[in-house]
Amino acid sequence: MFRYIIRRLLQMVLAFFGTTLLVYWLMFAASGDPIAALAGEKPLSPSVRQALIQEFHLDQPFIVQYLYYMRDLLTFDLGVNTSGRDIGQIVATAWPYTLKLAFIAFIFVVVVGITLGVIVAMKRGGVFDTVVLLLTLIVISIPVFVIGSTLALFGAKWGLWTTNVGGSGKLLAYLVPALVLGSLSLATAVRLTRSSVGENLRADYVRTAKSKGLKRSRVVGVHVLRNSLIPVITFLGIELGGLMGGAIVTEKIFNIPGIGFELAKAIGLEDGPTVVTIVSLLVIVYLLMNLLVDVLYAVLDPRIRYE
Amino acid sequence: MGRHSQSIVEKESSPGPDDGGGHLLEVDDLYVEFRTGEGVAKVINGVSYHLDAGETLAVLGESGSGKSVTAQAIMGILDSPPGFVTGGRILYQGKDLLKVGEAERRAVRGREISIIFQDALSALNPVFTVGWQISEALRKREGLSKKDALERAVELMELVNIPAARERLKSYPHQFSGGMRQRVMIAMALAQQPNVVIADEPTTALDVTVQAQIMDLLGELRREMNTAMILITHDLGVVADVADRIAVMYAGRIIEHADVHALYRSPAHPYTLGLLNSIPRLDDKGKTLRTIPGLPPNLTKIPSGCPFHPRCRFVRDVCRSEVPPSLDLGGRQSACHFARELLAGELEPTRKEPEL
Repeated sequence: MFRYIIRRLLQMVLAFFGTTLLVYWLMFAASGDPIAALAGEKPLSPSVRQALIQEFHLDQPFIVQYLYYMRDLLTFDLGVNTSGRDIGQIVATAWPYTLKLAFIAFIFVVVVGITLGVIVAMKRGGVFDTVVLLLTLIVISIPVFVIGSTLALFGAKWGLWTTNVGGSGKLLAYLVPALVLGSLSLATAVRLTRSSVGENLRADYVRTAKSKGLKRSRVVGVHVLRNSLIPVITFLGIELGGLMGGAIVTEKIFNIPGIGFELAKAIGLEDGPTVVTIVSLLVIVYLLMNLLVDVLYAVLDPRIRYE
Repeated sequence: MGRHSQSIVEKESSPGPDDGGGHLLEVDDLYVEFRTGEGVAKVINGVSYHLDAGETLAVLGESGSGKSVTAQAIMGILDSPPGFVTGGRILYQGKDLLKVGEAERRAVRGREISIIFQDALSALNPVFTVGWQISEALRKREGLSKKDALERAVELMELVNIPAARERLKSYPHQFSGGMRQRVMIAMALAQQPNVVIADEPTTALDVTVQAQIMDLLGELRREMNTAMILITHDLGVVADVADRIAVMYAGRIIEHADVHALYRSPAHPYTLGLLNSIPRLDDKGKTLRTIPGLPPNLTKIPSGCPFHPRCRFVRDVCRSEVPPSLDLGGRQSACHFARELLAGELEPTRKEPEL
């Protein structure tokens, strides 16, 4: 297990450099003249311009620029963006909003997703099962921005909930955005739990547990659930990684100044340093969550041993 | 072992097996059908057998003959749907298990009647340790503390000859060999000291050498604990040493029922005769193995008359039209129109190759 984790960490290093290089290159190719953007309206003298080019290593080849950037990033110097703001500051301000949103969405997904999934698996083929399956299919088929905008519209029209969360500290304000953000994961979690529980209900060990004279609640709640949750937890772990990376659409619709919001803003402003930094951080979070899921998988299923 | 036998004695003081004056366990004219998309499969068609305290009944039959389904019906663990009990009674200590409520039914499971499944790998829960699984019922039903239950689990594992039982308590099923896993299964089935153990093809998934060990173990434990056993098997070789009586099943019916020696000496049903003839013998070296031609019937379309008639060498006209009743031949029964003639050796085959 220990060796497996080490190997996975080494793989993560590769994945990290690969993705950041890609993002860096994309932003490099997309942005125009960074010095002009920095200067704004004010014309620059050729000597100042030359000094800035020197300072930002803009005369160096692409790969050298990337390596300079990585050196600073890995020494936790996130630098400043094109308008001079400290990127570390931007991230530190934005992330708590995103985390708040992500965790509420995640609790939604876990509690409602698993509960509904188990219930419909037990009543497979019934009316409730059909209705839930149909609803999850609808949710999966509709893009998040449609669900989000529609709910925002309803909220605004009838004053049911706020559509401008802003920097609000109230948890209540996050409920609807979290529901929007988690809707797809929720629908998938219901379906995954349903099929996993359904499969395990037919397993031979269920018959064994029953023949011991255990109560049905224990057979399902302990024997079946413990097995069924293995794939579900794996799925949820990866979803959490995704949720923590912010939600561009949801944060934008409900005006939540989180990571996704900042990222969208930076992309719009062609603010290369901010985009690359945020994406790099998201990659790290995502990779770590993936590793956590794989380790968790071995903990949950004793048959899995990583060599 | 000491503590174990003591508690068995305590158990004996509970209501005795002879309540109502009948057998310990009696299956009476049981009917089970499976309702599937392809039609209704009549899996059990009037099965009756009984079991007395301490004896072993072997239920013999090919796959699909209904022997395991009968066992599941007794345990009340039939998957329903598609399986439905449509008639008959299952009497345990005189009480019809098909009529009692779920709580009462559950009280019988494991504690009064327990079952050993065929494939221990899939029958054991993969994510719990064997110690946890063996001790589970003791904790949940017998009210033992976690520590005491695990202590008992060690005793049970030692009882079924699992070496280094204490160290293996924390192992998972997949870490055991097939034979050891089946021993775990047996330990689990014995944990609540049932009066009846149903062994549903306990050796089918095992190597031949291990099969013999498991059968020996079952026989030994049964004698020591004085447990009655229903041994379900398709292997005639397995039953001879262990069973007192044999019930042969075909197409969801008991077609012959006799004590072991009588049945081996002189079968009273052409199907049993065919089964006995198909046991490979050492002195038959070089010859083709004898088999019963044809296949067991499709249970959605059971042949008219005697269900075995399309495969029978002795078939007569009456066999095609009339379902043979169970004939009493003095201490044994056979559901063949010509059982008496067959027993007397006076029945001539009507064909070499049966119609297929």
